[in-house]
Amino acid sequence: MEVKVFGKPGCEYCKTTMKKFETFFGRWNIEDSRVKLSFFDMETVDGLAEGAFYSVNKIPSTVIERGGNILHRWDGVVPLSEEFKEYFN
Amino acid sequence: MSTLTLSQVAGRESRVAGQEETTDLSVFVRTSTDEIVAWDKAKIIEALVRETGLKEEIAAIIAIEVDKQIRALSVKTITAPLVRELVDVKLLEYGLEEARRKHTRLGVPLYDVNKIIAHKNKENANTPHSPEATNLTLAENIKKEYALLNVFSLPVADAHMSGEIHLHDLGFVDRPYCSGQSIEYIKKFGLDLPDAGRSEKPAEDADELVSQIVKFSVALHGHFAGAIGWDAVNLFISPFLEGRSDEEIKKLARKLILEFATVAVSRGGQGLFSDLNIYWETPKHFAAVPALGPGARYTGKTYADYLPRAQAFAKAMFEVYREGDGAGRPFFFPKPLVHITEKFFATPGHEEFLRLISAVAAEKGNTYYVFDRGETAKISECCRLAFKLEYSDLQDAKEPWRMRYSAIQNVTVNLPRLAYLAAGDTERLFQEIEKKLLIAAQAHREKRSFIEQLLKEGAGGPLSLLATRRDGETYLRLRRVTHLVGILGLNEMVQFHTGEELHASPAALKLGLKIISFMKLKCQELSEKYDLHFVLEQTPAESTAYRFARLDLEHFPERAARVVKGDLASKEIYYTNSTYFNVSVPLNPIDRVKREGLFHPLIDAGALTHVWLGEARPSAESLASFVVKTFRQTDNGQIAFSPEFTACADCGRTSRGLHERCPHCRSDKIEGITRITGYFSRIPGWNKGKIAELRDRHKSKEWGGVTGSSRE
Repeated sequence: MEVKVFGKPGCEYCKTTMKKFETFFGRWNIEDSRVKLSFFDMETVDGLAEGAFYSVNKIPSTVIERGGNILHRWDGVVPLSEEFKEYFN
Repeated sequence: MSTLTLSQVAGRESRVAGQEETTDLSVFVRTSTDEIVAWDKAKIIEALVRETGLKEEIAAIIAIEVDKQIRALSVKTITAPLVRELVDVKLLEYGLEEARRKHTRLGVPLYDVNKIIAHKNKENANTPHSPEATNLTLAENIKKEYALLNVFSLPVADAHMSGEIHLHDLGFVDRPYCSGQSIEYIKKFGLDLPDAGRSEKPAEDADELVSQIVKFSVALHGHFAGAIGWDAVNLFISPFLEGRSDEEIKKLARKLILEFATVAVSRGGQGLFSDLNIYWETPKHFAAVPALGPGARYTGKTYADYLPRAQAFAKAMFEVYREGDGAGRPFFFPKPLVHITEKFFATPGHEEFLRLISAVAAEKGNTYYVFDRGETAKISECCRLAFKLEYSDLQDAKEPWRMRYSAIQNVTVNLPRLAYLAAGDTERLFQEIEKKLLIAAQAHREKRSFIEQLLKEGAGGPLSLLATRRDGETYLRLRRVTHLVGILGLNEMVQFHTGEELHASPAALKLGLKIISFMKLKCQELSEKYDLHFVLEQTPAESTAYRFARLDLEHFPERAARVVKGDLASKEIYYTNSTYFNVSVPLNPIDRVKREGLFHPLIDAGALTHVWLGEARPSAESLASFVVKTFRQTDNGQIAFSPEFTACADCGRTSRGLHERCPHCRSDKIEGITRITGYFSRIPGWNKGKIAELRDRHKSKEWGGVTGSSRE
């Protein structure tokens, strides 16, 4: 499973989103080998390209994906832990 | 060494050669000014000193040697071009390469002129075959040579000639690329055409206004290489429609479209490449703007107050488009671009209007749907060129005649070539892209510098119309021009590099997106570095897709043969345009629109997906549903549906689909019509590459899937 967060370095909401996933993954004892958490900087080539692939046009955007299938996505908001908890049970 | 005068040289030379003066008189020169004059070698010296800056003594030596050569030929008459060639050979013999370059004669071989006069120019399907058109082609040929020799530096010219980049419209090097503006300019200032030596006051009624719009468009067509676009036409014409009946409005809409459509006496006999932007709603940035009415007088209302009139005119325009021309064929020009926005869907009556414009799309194919999502205000300049309005533009919108936008030039990068050079090395691939972007930027700076020089000549110069200052700024606002960097053959680049085409796997698609993201960010860097606005554009590439494929097969035969599209045996070959997917892949239309649309937000100067209909005739409702779905569920920037037609010269009827014979009268005097790139044209005028692409195009028949929900 993979969690992709799209944002920009100066965006506080983007930093909060990353911090939130890191915090809850720690709290829920989710190992790195089980879920890969990545941040894509939309001001870089790789971030911009990955964002285009997922049609990201607002930041922060978050995509939860398993085997190439999108399970859920949030656009322009910081996800609530209650909203993403179910995907990591 | 002392410098000899012309008379000394002439005198000395007579003695040196031991010839009588009468010998000189017995040789005549046919000059380039249609005269036959006596041979005089001093003319060579004069020309060399004047044109190349050579010292007179060196010029004299060249002249003496050429004189000897001519005498040895024992001819009675010689042409000026031949004398020039002999001089050039001598310059080369003496190692005077730069002088030879400056002394070059531009022209066209007799064989080529015969071909140009006798055969149609297929580089641009919008150029007919007529004396006026061949004048254009001949002039373009000379200006192309001039551009490559005198406007662009050697590295840029070489990059073009070798097919690494393509400098578009070289034959129009002394004008900018395209122009988008508001009819408010004409309403405010009337018609002021410096070249015609006359002017007209601001229009007092709608008929006069339409006439002025078309006349001004023709004048602009003579000053720009590409399309002439008009913003929010139905909105700005609306103050002139007060008190007019629906019938009168329809008549006026017909007049506007017909006047644009039938101006085949414009530049080089070409159709007037024109785009009319249309809104169902009042765009937010124009809503509170005071409306300018007849005689350039404010009406006391705002444009928001004229919405019903603007809508009536928009509907009338599409009723005219639906009828087509006298033979029922689609109008090739002017192209109607309807902006689909959030406000469009919030404006009453949009369902009916969407059905009408979709009926036109299904039956005639004219409608272009431009998607302006979110709060972004966008201007479509010309063809697919569009850009977001910045703060200063929104300030200009309060006085819309100020809104004049232009692109200075389009330089397209041959992407497949870079994949051949990188030979599978991804790091090198990106290095090659960067190198070519630097060359493209250099080409833009050189063209811009040339245009700036011409513009500085002001009212007495060749761009006097664009130098006109009616509102404190020249008509061509150099501070707001864009410099287009075109993309061509991304599909083949990715295919060569990875072995897969763009549509074939997520990895191939992601590499394509990474390449375009890289180019976009590099353009931003170049913009900051040079303080010029560089943006990516999906090149329409009517002839470039063929040219690049042809040149790559010549320079990289084995590599290019692996990815080039079309038929290698008949040389009907092409690369896939811009960021498009392979046109022959049978993708569901919404899938193509969705996946090609992933590139569109990265391409700042506008992007488009074509949906090739062929013979299929989907209902207006299914296309309207498709449009809504495209707006809501994709990133696609613009779509157009392209049907095909067969027009019969015998019975005058137009049939759906491409046929060998007229389905009505069985005549073989027919011609096919469909969209070549960004406009409709007659297929017999297409180049080989586009003919091959047409054969390959997958025509969508899966319209059941459009109205359903299976592709969600």
